[in-house]
Amino acid sequence: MLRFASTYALQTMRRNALMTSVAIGTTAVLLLVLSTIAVIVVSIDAGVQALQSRVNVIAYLKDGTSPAALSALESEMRSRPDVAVVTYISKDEALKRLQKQFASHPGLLGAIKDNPLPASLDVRLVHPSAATDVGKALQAQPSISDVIINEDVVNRLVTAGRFVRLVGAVMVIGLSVAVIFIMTNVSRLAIFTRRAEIEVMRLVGASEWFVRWPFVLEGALCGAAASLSSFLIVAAGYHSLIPVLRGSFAFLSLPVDPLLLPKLLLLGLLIGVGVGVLGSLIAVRRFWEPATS
Amino acid sequence: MTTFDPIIRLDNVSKCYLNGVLALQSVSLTINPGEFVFLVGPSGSGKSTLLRLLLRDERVTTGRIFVAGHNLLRIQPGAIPQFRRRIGVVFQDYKLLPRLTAFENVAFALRVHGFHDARAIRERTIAVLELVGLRAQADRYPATLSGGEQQRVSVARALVTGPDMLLADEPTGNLDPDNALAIAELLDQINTFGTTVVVATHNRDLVDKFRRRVLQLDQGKLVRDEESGGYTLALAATGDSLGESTLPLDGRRPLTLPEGSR
Ligand SMILES: Nc1ncnc2c1ncn2[C@@H]1O[C@H](COP(=O)(O)OP(=O)(O)OP(=O)(O)O)[C@@H](O)[C@H]1O
Ligand SMILES: [Mg+2]
Repeated sequence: MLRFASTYALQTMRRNALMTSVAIGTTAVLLLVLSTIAVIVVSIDAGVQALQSRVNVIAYLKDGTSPAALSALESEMRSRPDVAVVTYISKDEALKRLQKQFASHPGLLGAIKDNPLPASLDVRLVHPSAATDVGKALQAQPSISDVIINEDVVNRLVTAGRFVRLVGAVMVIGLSVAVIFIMTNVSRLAIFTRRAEIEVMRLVGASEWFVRWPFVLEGALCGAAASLSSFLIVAAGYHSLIPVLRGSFAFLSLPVDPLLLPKLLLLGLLIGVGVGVLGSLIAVRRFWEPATS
Repeated sequence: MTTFDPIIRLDNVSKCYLNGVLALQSVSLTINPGEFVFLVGPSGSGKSTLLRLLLRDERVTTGRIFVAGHNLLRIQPGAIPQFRRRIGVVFQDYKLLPRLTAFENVAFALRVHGFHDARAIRERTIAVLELVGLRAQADRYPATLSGGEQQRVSVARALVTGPDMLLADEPTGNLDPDNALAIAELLDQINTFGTTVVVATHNRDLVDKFRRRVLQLDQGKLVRDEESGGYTLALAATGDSLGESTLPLDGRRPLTLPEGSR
């Protein structure tokens, strides 16, 4: 039964080779877009994850704050449950850090006589959502002059992630509709080229689904072929891109899921086969001539 | 015979095709299980139409039709495949699947009937191909077979499933006399094992030789229903002096359905 259905489906696919390749091609494009978007979203999420641990609140101290006030402030901050680490950065240390950053332009800082940098507290948070609360608490302290929340990069990444997801979803939905439409027409053509045989099968007593099933199988095979070919492209692209990305975004230390590719393959197969089956099911329902007039 | 309901019963059946051709007019008949019936009549008289109605390939226009316990006017579309599986059919135009070999065409019918065991399918198919004398041609495609060979593949396909009823439309139309006789004897043999057989044919020799019940159609009307009949009404035997060969009936068998026959 399965062997009959599959030889039958393969024969039909060969007979309608052009339409079949169009169907496989468009499905592959759909899956390619889907995979690319998935990889981008996963990378952005990984970046957000990596950066979130670095969200910190920096509180600049007024010059002349007494050591006693400073240590009181430090211990108050440490006792907060949403604060992970509090580091004191003295004026000298701040200058040293700055000099390190400008190591290639020693002349620039050479001109500075007096250290203009204030001392500061670098407050690391347990969770980035606490940033505003902690910032407000610090701002309320008399010895604090300024508070900055270092979360800009994260926010931008989160926004970018949302945007990619939205655009991706729209593209994937649009492409899916197109692919289902094409698949439906491929099956419709297949049914049309096979109509004489369908008639004979019916007269011999074949049940409706016995006759329909090869067409649905054909849709599934198209979808599977598309997902495999798009996966090969994605895998190749991924392997050649990852080293480049690692190099240029080393600071993000992207923790890339080692199962990403297998997951993509599975997702691709699921969607490819799903779309293929759906398209042919629609055709089998809509273009199936009634058994007897 | 009295204990069986008829396997085929037509009450005043008429068939008018969509183009307006009246192919059958008020045909009433019953056929009991196990009967062997020849259906004769000139070309265009409605023989194929009658067989198509019996298979529920076409629907009757007026009248009532019962086949194998089903009222074919009422049968649910979902029940039709199951119904057709009880009937083996040899089509006038063979209706073989062109992309399957002779073997696969016959085996296909078994698959449709829910056979899964590859060995059973193979052995049954080979046996039936042997019966119709086509063992050697098993792996050929219909397009490479002669008309008579294709016809015999069609016979094999109809027989392989062991149907309750066999409808054969010109099963010997493309065969030489020897092969025609062989096929007819095969059908006769199937009949002795209990299968009801209805054969539409133009083959005078066969009808005259086998002397079975003959139903004769003319222009859509049933004009003769004769037990042990010949291809044409034997005027000499009745001693009829009318000299008219298209007598509406021969009187030996009532054409109208006896009440209480069900
Ligand atoms: N599908 C159809 N649509 C319209 N008219 C049809 C159709 N099939 C058959 N007819 C007409 O119905 C009449 C009976 O045809 P049918 O095929 O039953 O004859 P037949 O007795 O089988 O003839 P033959 O011996 O040539 O096979 C003919 O006049 C034919 O033209
Ligand atoms: Mg005919």
